[in-house]
Parts: sequence; C-alpha cells; structure tokens
Amino acid sequence: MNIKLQGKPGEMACTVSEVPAFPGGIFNLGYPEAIGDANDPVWFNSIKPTWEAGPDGSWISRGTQAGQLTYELTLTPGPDSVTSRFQLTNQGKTPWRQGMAFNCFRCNEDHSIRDNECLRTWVRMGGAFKRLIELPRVFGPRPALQLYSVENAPLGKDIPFVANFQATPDLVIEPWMAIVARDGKRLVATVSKPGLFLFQNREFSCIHCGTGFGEVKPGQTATAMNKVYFVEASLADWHRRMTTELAAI
Amino acid sequence: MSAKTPDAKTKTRNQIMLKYSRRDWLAVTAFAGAGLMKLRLHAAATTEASDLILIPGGAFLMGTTPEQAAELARQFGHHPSWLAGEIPQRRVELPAFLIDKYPVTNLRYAAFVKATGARAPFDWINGQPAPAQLNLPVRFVNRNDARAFARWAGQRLPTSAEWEKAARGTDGRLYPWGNEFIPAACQHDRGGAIPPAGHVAVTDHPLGASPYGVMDMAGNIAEYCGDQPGQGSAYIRGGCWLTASPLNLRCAAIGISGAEINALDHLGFRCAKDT
Repeated sequence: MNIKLQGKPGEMACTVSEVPAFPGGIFNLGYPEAIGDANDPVWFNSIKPTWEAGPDGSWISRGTQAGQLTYELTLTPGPDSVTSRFQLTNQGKTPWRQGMAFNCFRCNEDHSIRDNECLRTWVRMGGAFKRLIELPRVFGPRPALQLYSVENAPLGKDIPFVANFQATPDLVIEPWMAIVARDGKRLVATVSKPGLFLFQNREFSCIHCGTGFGEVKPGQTATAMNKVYFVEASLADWHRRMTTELAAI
Repeated sequence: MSAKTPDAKTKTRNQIMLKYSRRDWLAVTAFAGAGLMKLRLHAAATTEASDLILIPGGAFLMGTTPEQAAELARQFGHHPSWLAGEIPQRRVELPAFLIDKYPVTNLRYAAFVKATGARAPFDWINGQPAPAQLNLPVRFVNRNDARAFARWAGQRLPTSAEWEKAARGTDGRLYPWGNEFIPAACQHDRGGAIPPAGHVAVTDHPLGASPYGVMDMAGNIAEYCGDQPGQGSAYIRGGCWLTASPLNLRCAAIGISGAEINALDHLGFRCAKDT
C-alpha cells in the first residue's frame, strides 16, 4: 500500500496522507515553494500549475512563467516515501548560474512529529548526527528562519537565494534534514540529489532540502530529484538506507 | 445547573449579564446548559473590556549576559548562538505604561470583529467563537490584525522592551514568577511521547503572575510586539503551548519570531497604552 498524494490544481503544492508511519497525519508538500534561477526565482503560487493524476498514485505538475521558465514535476509515492523528479527549463535569454527548486515539507497539525523548537530536528556534520540546536545559528532579521550550506554544493553565501536571508551559519552539513517523532521510533526526512542547501522554519516546523540544477543555459532543460521519507526506523538505520538508495540513483 | 433553584439561576445570570453582551450571554448559557461549569467561571474572569496594569517608569534589566547565555545553553543543550538575539543584557529606561493583564481573548476580539467587520480567526465557526473559546486567547491573527485591534481599542502593541519589563520586572529574573522553572505556572508542551495539550483559558495559570501581576507571559500563546527585527517580520515573545524547553519560556527569549503576515495556531497578542 502506497502513501496517498493529492495535487492541488492552481497551487504549487500537494497533500500527503495515508502514511503508515503516521496514522491520520495529513502533511503538506510545497513543491516547489520557489523555482528557477537562484538569483531571481519564481515564488510560491506566482505560477498556477496544472496537476494531473498519473499511474500508481503518482501526480504530474506542470508550470510556466512566460519568458522565464517551465517545469514538470513528477511525484511518485512509495510505501514510506515520496520521490519527486524535476525537469526545469530556462525559457529566458540569459544563463542561470544556479538553477534551484525550494521544496517544503510541512508537518501541519501532526503533533507526533511537529517540532517548532528544533529539539528533534537532526542533521549530520563531520560524520556525526547533530540536533539543530547543537549547531551555530545566525540571528537574522527573520529569526525563525535558518539556511544551511551542504556538502558538494556552493556555500550558502555564494547562492543569492540563500544569502539574501542573512541566516546561514558558517558550517557545511550533509544534504538532508530529519525530524524524529516524539516517540523516537519514527521520522520524516527530506533529501535532494543534487542537494543545494537546507532550510528550516521554526514557526511552521517545516524542513526543506533545496534541489540544485547547476548552470542552466537558455533553452536548456536540467533534471534533479528529491525524496521525502516517512519511516519507522532509527535515524542511523534510515541514514544507511537513504545513502544506499541515493547512491544507486 | 440542574441542582440550582430558579432564584439562584436568576442571580447568577444577572451577575454574568453585567459583564457580557446579549450574544455572549446566549453563548455562555448554551455552554453552561451542557453542564460545563468550569467555562462559566473562566468566562466571568475576563470581559470585553481591557484589564490594564500599570508598569511604573524606570530602568529594568533587558536581555541576557554572555555568561548567563553560555550557562543556559549548556544547561539546555543548545549552541550559545541560539541566544544571540537577547545578548547583551542592558539597563533600559522606560516611561510608565499600561499593559493588558491577559492576552486578548476571543471574547474581546469578537467585539472588534462585530464592530469593524474584520476577518474572523480561522478557528471560529461561522464568524464567531464557540462558547468554549471565549476565554481562550485569540489565535490565527497576524501582526496587522493585532495592530488593527489595538487601534480600535484605543491601545497599541507593546514594544519588545515593554513586554519584557512587564514580564520580568526590574531584577532580571528568568521567568515571570522567579528564577526556577515551575511547570504548573504556564501552559507548555510537557515533552515526552504525549502531544501538547493545546492552548487554555488566560486565567488558568495564576502561579505564572509577573512581579506586576501580568498573567500568561510564559506559554499558552506567543505574543506579537509593536517593534520589528526587520521589515516584514515581527518580534514574538513568551513561548507558547508548543514550547517544550524552559529555555524558550524565559522572559528574555526571542526564540520564536517570524513574518508579520503569518496567522498561526500559537500566535496572539496583548495591548499596551501610554499613561
């Protein structure tokens, strides 16, 4: 039995429900909350995308910003995950130094997972798992927000979208973020390949793993993927599984 | 209710009618009719009118010293930079001002919505709070809504400094009631596997009184302030029912803060006024 997805026509979002690890939970994917050139992305719901149901519970979303970009996003549910594959096309006249998609997972009202204080929100740095509260934080003009540089990507200060928030500590972590449930036995995690940056908003307890497309020239289409896990596993066990799965993609 | 004589009922009704509009009375009656006396007692504790407390003029200690921050960070397992927004501790002079004893309740906000046609919060039904919500703090309002209410009420939002002085007095204490965390003094997330219980009546935690008698300054709902850390954002103070760590329930904590346009399930406000 796969997780159930429901695209929201006209919105850059879909809902996730019937998640075995979180019975009754209804979650929100803001996919994408922003997309395009990291120097000038198109923001959430500026585009009114179409959503079309595909085979085996999948959904395909297509969006266009005239003269700027088009994208196609395919969301495929699994028993305990949702895989998103992006095709992003530069429809402008100038090259993008860095294409990106800003993907939001939101806990909504599921208090078994919601973590507005980052007490159960985990990342991995230097081979060690860390709670976010253990890492340096930058108190910016929007203190609820924090963005993080990730391995194998440009530093946050060199990505205009990230740098503009003025909330990126001087450290580099693996390109995933996870929230462990209150019972310690389940978790939700988001990971991208290639990962570009991580984002966390305490106000909503939402986690984002930005997807990087690299340089995208006018007329060129680039691809990237993201995966959200909803698993019953320890953080270490999930991390081993995730590392193996992403290496195979 | 069923055990009371008609005379006693009438007496109780008359007492409550002194404080409530006809619509509110009907709401309270409906709820009490279901046998839930607790609400009636709570509902009688606040009214549509503001209940203001005078905060005397003078200096107070605002924020946290680097040494305190380092010790608190160690105690609660945080990196010290998580307390950066409240460092350094400084003496701040403020003129006397008035501040609401309680956060603005749904009862008070309903009068504003009725008078102005303002948008009702998302958790009301058919544009009105349910009887059980009357004495709960209003939620699902953004900072602009809060400012509009304050203008309508002839008040304003407190500044972050005013809020902190009203919460901790002049002696730099950690919590409104002192330096030791008392779980029973505020509505917060008790941690563990059990989800948080949600927000409660503003009168539910008398142990949480500040040195000036201001209530609910820790937990329940976090509160918008009138000044801002940056354009489009807002200072939010006090922690809320979702807050599990006592670190984020301290008077000096500026741990929860975000965009002024957000209307969320843990954000509300109280008002202040010049003397």
